[in-house]
Amino acid sequence: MNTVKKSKGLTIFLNVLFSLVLALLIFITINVL
Amino acid sequence: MIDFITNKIIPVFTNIMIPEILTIISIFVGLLFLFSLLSKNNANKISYTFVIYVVLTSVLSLLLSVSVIIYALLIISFIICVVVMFSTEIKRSVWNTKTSKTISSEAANTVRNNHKLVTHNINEIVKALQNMSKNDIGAILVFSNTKIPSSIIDSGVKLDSDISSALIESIFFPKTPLHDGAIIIQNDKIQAAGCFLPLSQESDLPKELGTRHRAGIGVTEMLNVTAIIVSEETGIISVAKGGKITRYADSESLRKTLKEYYWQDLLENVKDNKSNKEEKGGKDII
Repeated sequence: MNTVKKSKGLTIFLNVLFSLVLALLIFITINVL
Repeated sequence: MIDFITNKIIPVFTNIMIPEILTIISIFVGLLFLFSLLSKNNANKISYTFVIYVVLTSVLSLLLSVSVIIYALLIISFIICVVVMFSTEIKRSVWNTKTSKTISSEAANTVRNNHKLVTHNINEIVKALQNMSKNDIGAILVFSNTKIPSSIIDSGVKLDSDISSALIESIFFPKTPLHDGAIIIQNDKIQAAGCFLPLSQESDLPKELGTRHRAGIGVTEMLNVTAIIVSEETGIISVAKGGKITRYADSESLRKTLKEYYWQDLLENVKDNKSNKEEKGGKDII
């Protein structure tokens, strides 16, 4: 049960991290270009 | 490299205003929806591929100074591919957010004013379920007081008929054209029969649960409905609600389920709309 909760938490964390990093990257690229 | 960062990237953040922040937030929300959709469907590999793809595209676009349109096209093309691949899952998530726990007060009042009708319907449904369970006839009934997506209703045959045990048993009688699908019951009517439901993708379900049970669980995962399933192999009656299945339901628990999950919702809705005096009368129905 704990493992399931941990993996779910990790997935949410990774999703938020990826989204934030990519959003910034896309924003910077569009502005620089 | 350092020159590039100081000359090109830092100025982007020095002039940051509310529109820019809103742009970042909107891109962030869109990407978060995409990533959560992919992770829900065990497609983490596509998430990682997308991250690598965006990073590589961005770096190369910056190095080669390509046009913004080409860069946008490259990013959008990948997103379109993902949307095409997961169109069904996207549809599901849209349905899920659009369906609310609402019911027309007119329909609720009809039921409320007919205490006999409520009892009659519950008796007929329980009778049909028990008869089918005795004879090992597979069946799936979906009880809904939300709007069922039209694609589900359209996949079967629209009936809009009164609830009767004879009709339910006839529909599920083996080798009849409609026996393989689900019956959708809404308020005091059988809306449609022979409907195809989305299957649950849960991998932890016991192996003895077949496609019918998966469909029952799948529809309750997606919509605010209750599904009652009769196993064709064993005659066991199961109740699915909110993606969870309870097996070995007897007459009493079926009655309780029908009152709690189906009619209770109607009554609660009526209570919200009526004055305190009328609420007191409404409690007598159950």
